[in-house]
Amino acid sequence: MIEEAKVKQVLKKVAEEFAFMFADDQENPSDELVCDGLIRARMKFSGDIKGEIIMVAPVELCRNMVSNVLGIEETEEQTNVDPKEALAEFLNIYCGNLLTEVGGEDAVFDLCPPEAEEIPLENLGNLVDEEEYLSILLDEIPIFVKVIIE
Amino acid sequence: MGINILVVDDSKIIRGVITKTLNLSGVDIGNIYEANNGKEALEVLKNNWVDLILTDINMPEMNGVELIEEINKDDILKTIPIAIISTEGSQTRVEELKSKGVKAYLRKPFTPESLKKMIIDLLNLKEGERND
Repeated sequence: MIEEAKVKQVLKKVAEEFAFMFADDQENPSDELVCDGLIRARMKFSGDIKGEIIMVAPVELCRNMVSNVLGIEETEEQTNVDPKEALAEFLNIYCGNLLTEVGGEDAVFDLCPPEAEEIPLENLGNLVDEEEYLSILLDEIPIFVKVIIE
Repeated sequence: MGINILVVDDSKIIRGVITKTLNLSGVDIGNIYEANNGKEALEVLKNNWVDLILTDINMPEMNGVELIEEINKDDILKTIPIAIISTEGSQTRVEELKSKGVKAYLRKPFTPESLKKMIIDLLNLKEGERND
């Protein structure tokens, strides 16, 4: 079990350093959930710690990541990058940083490439009710993360 | 004549960031080749000469470690400096990669300044060889 504070601390750090997004805690995630679609990314890891991390974020947040990371406006150029790829890479970086934070710099992990897919909006209700998911706001849009340790 | 660089990463967004940073770095860049994984990288290397390889570790089909092992089998290719740009932060892994000939390691998320510094250091560039 990884403590909640650490999960959120690393999430905020990666959001700010990779996606240039301001991260903030939120009282009630369901209050913020107005979106036109969701993307779920998941990534398994093994080694000194074995498990999986799952992230769910609105498509809008993933599109904003593409713009921020590549330093572009919402133009034709941006549409060449699938927003699923942005969340998958965000998860990839998050996973590596979280495992190093938890296991230390001598720990060795094997990371599986992340996979991302669009999921139906109706899954959102179940998601916010699940206690295992932690959430924070990135530029005022919620992102959900679940860390499973086997 | 500019420096030819091969960027190997399964993330299009990371390849985009690296390419953009290289083009703005002030280093005299020739061609930037992109590959989605180690297998594609070897195909690029069959037909093109590069001065530097920047590769991720964690990729499908052929990962970065397997790519380095393949490159090391070739007497000419193994002279090309290789730098890793990866999310993994294990010092044990870094040491293992250096023993395979990797010259530098940059951890994601990285800043444009840190990438630029790594390239300049790796290629031993002097002022006259840079554009800035």
